[in-house]
Amino acid sequence: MKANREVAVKVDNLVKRYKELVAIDHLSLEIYQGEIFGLLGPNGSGKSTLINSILSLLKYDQGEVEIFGQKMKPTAYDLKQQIGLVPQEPTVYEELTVYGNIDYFCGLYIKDKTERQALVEEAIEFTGLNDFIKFNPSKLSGGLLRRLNLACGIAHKPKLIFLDEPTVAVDPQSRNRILEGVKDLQTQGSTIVYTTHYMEEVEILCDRLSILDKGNVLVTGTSAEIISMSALDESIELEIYGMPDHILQELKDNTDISHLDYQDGRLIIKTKQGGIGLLGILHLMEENDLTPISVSSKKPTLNDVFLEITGKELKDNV
Amino acid sequence: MFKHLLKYSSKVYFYNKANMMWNFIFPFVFISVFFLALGNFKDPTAEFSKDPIKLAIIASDQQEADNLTEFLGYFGEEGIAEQAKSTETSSDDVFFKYQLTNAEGADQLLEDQAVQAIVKASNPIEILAYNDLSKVKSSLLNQFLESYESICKTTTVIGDRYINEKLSNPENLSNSQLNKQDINTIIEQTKMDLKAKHEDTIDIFSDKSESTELSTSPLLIYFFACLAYIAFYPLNTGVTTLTEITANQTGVGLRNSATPISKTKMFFAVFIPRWIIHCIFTLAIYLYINLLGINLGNNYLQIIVLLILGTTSAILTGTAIGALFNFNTGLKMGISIALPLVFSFASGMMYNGMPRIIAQYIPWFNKMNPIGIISKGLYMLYSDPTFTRFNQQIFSLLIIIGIMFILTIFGLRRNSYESI
Repeated sequence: MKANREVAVKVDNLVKRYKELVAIDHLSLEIYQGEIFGLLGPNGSGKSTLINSILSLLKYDQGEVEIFGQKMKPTAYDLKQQIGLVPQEPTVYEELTVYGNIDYFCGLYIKDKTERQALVEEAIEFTGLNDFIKFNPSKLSGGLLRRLNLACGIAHKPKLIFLDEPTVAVDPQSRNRILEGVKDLQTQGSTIVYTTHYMEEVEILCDRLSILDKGNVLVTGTSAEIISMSALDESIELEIYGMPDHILQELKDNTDISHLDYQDGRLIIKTKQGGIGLLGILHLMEENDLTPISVSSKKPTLNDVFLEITGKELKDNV
Repeated sequence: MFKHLLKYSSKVYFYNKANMMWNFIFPFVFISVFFLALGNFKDPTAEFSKDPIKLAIIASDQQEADNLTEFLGYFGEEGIAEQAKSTETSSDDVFFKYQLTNAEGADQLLEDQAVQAIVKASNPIEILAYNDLSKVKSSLLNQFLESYESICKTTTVIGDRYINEKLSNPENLSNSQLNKQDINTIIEQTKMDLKAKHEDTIDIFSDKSESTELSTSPLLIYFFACLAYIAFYPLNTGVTTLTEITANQTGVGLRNSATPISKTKMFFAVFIPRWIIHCIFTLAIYLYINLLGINLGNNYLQIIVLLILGTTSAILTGTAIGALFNFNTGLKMGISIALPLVFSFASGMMYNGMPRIIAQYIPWFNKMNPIGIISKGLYMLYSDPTFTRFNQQIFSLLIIIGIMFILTIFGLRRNSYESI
């Protein structure tokens, strides 16, 4: 779904300090209505702090937050009515059943009992919890618990949903279910702010994203835009024997190729993005009747981009 | 919406196993253990049975002995020796059976287990020995003899004042009559003297009390403090009430804070059912104590009001702690468990002389100790026929409730936090 350009969330020059530590450092960003916006960053980069500040749960030192064109403040109940929050840790009542939890949180937004009942059932269906409605949270697996956490945040069909790392420590089946669900929510018209440190999720899901580190937005755009912004090369490796010297020289002379190494039948080439590329090289081999035994190509990822920008890995070292 | 909140906050509270254990089962167990510990393990209700107390009275002073036996005659009957081996009387009107005798005779009766205590009729009255008398009954005997002494003092004061008045006005002496105004003055002055004397004697929370064994009823003081402790026990409920709706304390607190419900509305929705549940529960404990046969006095309505206010002050103290302080939930829970214990210790639950020590060294502490106030309220209802000092305790509790409520609302006004 292509996002329209109306702004759902506008953060302007936000600063949040914890004594000496600057958790959010003059951060500005705009999230458009109808898009899935990813906030990508390592642990401690300020993703959750940013969400809590946007929701006015956290006092910030400077800056402004607007949601759907209105200034967000703790008592902006009309705005809160349109927001759904799925916190990082599953936050449900252990004493209530799956159904009870969803009904409780939905009931804080929806007064009408009949409407609420329909919404609760829809949320149960949506998250695939039909077989577990009478279970207490303690009886659920980690993945099911995350799904319950999601159901509690989205049952009232909010226009703006904050999903704070919803797939941490989740099995692949539940993760896929959650990711599919997030896509469906967007299809239903919700704007989604999705924080994670799993870059593959962002690449699959998000229309746009910001990479955060130390409370700063390092870069914002689509995944392709962000990768293309970087100066990282595509790495191509071919197993090929008897490479003639003139072809090697031709490749060396190509300005798109930044690095070339040929030893023991293994040719390693690093080429700039948008340059000759894998297809160009294979075409050159074909023209010279050369057939590589194997070919591999590695394009830069968001993780490589993040590593290039910040000098550290995006994923946990777990 | 409010109904929805009420429904679910009650459910959450009732279905919480830890709550059930610590807030509902533990107090019953606590009271039961307390009851058994202070009573006879094999037959605990015997402690509180209505079988008459058998006394040997040593007539060291004939006048004192006559006065005492005359007084005892209103509550019991003479002739213990003859009936000692016969079946026990079960008459509800007979509280005492007594036998006038000399010191040797009394010792013999005690040795034969024909009597349970030896009382020396002197000024002041002395209990010389006990044998096979339960703590409750010894406490009852103490209380009874206290009342007797108090009446004797009253009679003496009135008599002295009357004679003094006569001597200072020889005309009145010759007429053997006082005018109405004079009599009223004497009575008024006498009342004041007696009141002061009475208050000094019965107020165990005062450092001026006569600290004799006779002036207090140790077992009942334990039970007053114990019931006050139970009434104030739900302090932790107040703390958890706040953690559930405060964003920086728990996950559900964060989630609840992100909803379009004002914090004040959410607070009342969570607070009200828990407050009602705990008030009912405190009264159930009071009923249970009565069923155990422990009589804490007949002013049932006043006791109920006192206990409800005590429980209210407990929950609101908890909510104030939860709303004002930002330390972690574990520490808050620790405080909510420790605080009632400290307060109850100061109120005499572990050692009945503690209130007097506190009154002597840190008197302000008794004024702000809610368990002490509840305990004192129960004590006053039991021992003071006027409601003056009971009303003072009610007033003190109302002040505490007011302050805690204001602090809670003040703390709740914070809608966003420095850290989450």
